[in-house]
Amino acid sequence: MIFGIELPQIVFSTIYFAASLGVVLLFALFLVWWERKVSAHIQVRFGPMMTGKWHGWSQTLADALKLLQKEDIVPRDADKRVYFWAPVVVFGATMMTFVVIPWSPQFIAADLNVGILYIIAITTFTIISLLMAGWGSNNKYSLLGGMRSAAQIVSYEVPLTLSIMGVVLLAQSLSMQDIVADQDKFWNWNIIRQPLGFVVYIIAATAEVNRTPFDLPEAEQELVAGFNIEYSGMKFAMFFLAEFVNMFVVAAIATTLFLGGWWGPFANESLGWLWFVLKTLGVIFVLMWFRWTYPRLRVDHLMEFAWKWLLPLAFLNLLATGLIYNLVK
Amino acid sequence: MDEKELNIEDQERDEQNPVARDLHTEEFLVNMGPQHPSTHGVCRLLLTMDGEVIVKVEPYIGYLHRALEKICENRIYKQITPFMDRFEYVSSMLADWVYALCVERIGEIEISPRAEHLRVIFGELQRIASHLIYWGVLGMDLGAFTPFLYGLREREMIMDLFEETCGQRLTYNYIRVGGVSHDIKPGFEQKCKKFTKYMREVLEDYETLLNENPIFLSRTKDIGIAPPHLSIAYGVSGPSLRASGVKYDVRKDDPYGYYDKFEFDIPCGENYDTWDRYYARVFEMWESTKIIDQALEGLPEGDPTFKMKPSFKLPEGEAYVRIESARGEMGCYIVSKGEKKPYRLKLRGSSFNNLMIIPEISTGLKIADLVAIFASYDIIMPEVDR
Amino acid sequence: MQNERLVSQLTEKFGDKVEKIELHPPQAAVVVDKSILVEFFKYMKEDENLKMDFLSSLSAVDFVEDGMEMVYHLCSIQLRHKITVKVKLDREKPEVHTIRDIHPGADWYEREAWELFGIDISGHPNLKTFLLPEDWEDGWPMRRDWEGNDDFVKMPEF
Repeated sequence: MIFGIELPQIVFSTIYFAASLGVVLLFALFLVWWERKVSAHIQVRFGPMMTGKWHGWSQTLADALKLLQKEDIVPRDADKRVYFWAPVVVFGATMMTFVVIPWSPQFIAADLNVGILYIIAITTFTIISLLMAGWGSNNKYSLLGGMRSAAQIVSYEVPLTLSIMGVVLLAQSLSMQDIVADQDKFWNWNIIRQPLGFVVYIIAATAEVNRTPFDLPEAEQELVAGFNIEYSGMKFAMFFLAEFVNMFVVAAIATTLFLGGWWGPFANESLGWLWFVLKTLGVIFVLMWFRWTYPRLRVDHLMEFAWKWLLPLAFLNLLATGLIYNLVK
Repeated sequence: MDEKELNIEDQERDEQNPVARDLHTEEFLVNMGPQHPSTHGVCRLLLTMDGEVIVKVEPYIGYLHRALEKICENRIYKQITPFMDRFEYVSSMLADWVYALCVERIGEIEISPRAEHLRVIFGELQRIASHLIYWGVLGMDLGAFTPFLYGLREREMIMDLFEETCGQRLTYNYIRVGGVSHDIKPGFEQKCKKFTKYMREVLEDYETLLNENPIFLSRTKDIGIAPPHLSIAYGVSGPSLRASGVKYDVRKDDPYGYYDKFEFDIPCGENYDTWDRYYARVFEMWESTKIIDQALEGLPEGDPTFKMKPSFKLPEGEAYVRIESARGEMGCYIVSKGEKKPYRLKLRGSSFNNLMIIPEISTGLKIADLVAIFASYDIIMPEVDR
Repeated sequence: MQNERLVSQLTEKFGDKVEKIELHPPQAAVVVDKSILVEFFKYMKEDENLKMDFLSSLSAVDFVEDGMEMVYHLCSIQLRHKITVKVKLDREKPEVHTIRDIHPGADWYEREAWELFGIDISGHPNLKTFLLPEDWEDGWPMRRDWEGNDDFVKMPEF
C-alpha cells in the first residue's frame, strides 16, 4: 500500500526497484566524489575543490558528462560481441542485487524467501563479465587481469558464503527481512554474535569487489589497468560505476547481515532507511580506508590467504555458531 | 626468441613428458613499456611469460637517448653543467657535483671550505629528496598510493630550500666548477636545522606506515635476492650494493669533498632482498640528516662562489671521477686536450648497471615481483640512456 | 705508493705486453696489449693483491690520428684501490675481445662502444642496437670525424 492506494504487488516491486536504481546511481556518483575526498584527506591534500564551488561537489557529474561525450574506441582485433556485452553484464548483474536489499521495513523490491542465496548467485555474474572483458579486448594485460579476477572471486566466494551461513543459521531464514528482524536489539546484532564471521565477511567482500589490497585484476602498476584497459568512454564509465555500486552492495549486505540493517534508535518505520544508509556509508568508509592504506597482495599470497586462513576461520565460525546455537536452545 | 622457436621447444617438451603435455600452457610475450606505469620512464621490458610467471626478461633501452655525451663534446666547460642536470634529473645536484669535481681534478682548481660545506649540505639534501621519491614510488608500485604523497610532501620542503638558494626546483645548475653558484641566504641554517629535526620525526612515522605492514613485508622479504658476488660482478652500486651485503660507499672508501671529515654509518644488508634495498635507503635518509647537521655546525665563512671565464681552458689530461649519488656510483670521465671543450666526456649512470642485473634476478618470479624489484633498484631512465 | 706497487706488479707479471703510462692527475694507469686482454682481466680479478672485481666504467675514445682506445676503469671493493686500463685499437679495423665473461657488467658498455664507435667486440653474443633508433644508418655518431646527418645541428663557436 502506498499513499492509501491499493496496487498489485508487481507494480510495487517495479516502483521500488526503479527507485532503488535511481537512488543507487546517484549514490554511486556521490561515492566517487566521496572516495576522492577521503583519499585526498588521507594523503594530505584536498581533492577536487573547484567544480561546483562547494568542495568540488559536482566533479563526478562533470566527469560522467565528459565520459558520455567521449569517442567509443573498439580495438580492431577485439572480439566485438563479447567486448560490447561485458560492461552490460557487469552493470546488469550489479543492479539485479538491489531487488532484495531491505532499505526499510517496507522498502524492498521483493522479499524473496531465498534472498541471500539470490545475492550470492547474482554477484557471481561479475566474474563472467570480467572474464568477457579480459578475453574480448584481445590484450594480454586484460587477459591476465580477467584470469586473475576469475581465480580471485571464485576463491573468495567460498569463505564469503560460509561466513554468511552463520548468520543464516541464527536467523533460521534466508530472507533478508527476516535476518534484519532477527537483530532487533543492539546485543542481538550479528556483529556482536558473529564477530569472526563479520571479519571474514569484510575481508572476503573487499576481495569480491576488487579493491586494494585485493585489486589485482586491475593492478595499475603491474597490468596497467587490467581487464578494463581497452575500454573508453561510456563503456569504461559503466565498469567504473559498477565498481562503486558493487561496493555499495557489499556494504549494504554487511549492514543487513551484521549491523542490524534498518534498526536504530527512534526508528523503524519512518527513519529506517536513514539508519541503513548511514551504516552502509560507514562500512564503505572502512573499505576506502583499507584502499588508501594497504599495499597490494601478490597473486599467490592472495590464494594462500583465502584457502589457508579465511576458509578454516569461516568453517570454525560456522561450527562454533552451530554448537552454541544448539546449546542455548 | 621469436614465437616459432618457442613452439619447437614446446613440442619437444611435450614429447618428452606426457604429463607436461596434459598440463601444457603456452608461453607468451608481453611488452612491458615503453609506456607503462611502473617502468619509471620509457624503459621497455620484453617479458616471456608462462601465465603469471616470468620466464625471461629482456630490457630494451634508448627511448630517452639524447646524445648527451656528443652534445657535451661540442660545448664549452661552462655550458655543460646545465646538461648534467638533465643527465640525472631526480638528483641533479649530485650530477652537477660529479662534473664539477672531474673538471676541478684535471684543472687542479682549489675550492673554498665554505663551498665544500655547502656542497655536502645540498648534496645530502638532494639525497634525501631522491630517497623520498624512491620511498613513495616503491610504496606505489606495491599498490599503496598514500606513501607517494607523503614522500612528496617532505620533498617539497627540500625543494623550497633549494629554490630560496638558487631559484630552481628541479634542475639547479648550482654546484659549478670551482664552487657553487650562490651563497646561502640569511636564515637558511635555521630552516635547514628545523628540517632535519622534522625529517627524523617523520622517518619514525614512515616506519609505522610501511616497515611493519605484513603485506609490504610479504611483498618484499626474500624477493629478488641479489647475492654479493652477483651484485659486484654486474657493477651494481650504491644502496643496492650495500643491501647486497657489501659495505662499500664511495663517500667512505674513496672520499671526495669533505666527506672524510664527517661521521656517518652506512647500512649493510643481510638477506640481499628487496626489503634490504628498501631499508638501506631509509637508513641513508637518517644518516644524511646527521651529515647535514654536522656540516651546518662547522660552516666556515668566506665566499663560496667562483667566477669562471667563458674561454676557460682545461689543461691536458684525463680523469675518471666518481661520487656516491642517490642511486649509486655516478662517474664522469673527461679527456681534455687543453681546449675550451672536452675532447671526450663519458658519463656513468648507476642505473645503467643496476638495470643490467634485473633480468638475472627476476627470472622465475611473478610479474608483481618484477615491479617490486624494478622499483627497489630505483632505476631512472635518463641516467641509463643519457 | 700504492699505485706504483699496483702497476709494477702488473708489468712484472705480463712483461712488455703491459706498459706503464703517466697521466695528468696522477693515477695508476697501464696500457695493455689487446692480445692478452682476457687473461689480463682474469688475473686482475683473481690475484690476491689486486682483486679488481668492480668495473666502474668502460669508455671508448677516438683520437682520430692516434687510433682508438678502450678505457676500463676498475676498482677493488675490498682493497679500495683503482686502476685505469687502456687498450689501443687500430682505427681502420677496431676490434677487441669482450670481457663480459669476467665482468658481466661490461655487457652493455661494450654494446654501446660497438654501436656508437663501431668497435667490433669479438665474442659478444648480443650486439644489437639499443641506444640509437632501430633504423639508424648514418654511421658511428661518437667518432670525432662524424659528419652528422640531416638532423644534426652544429654549435656555433664560442
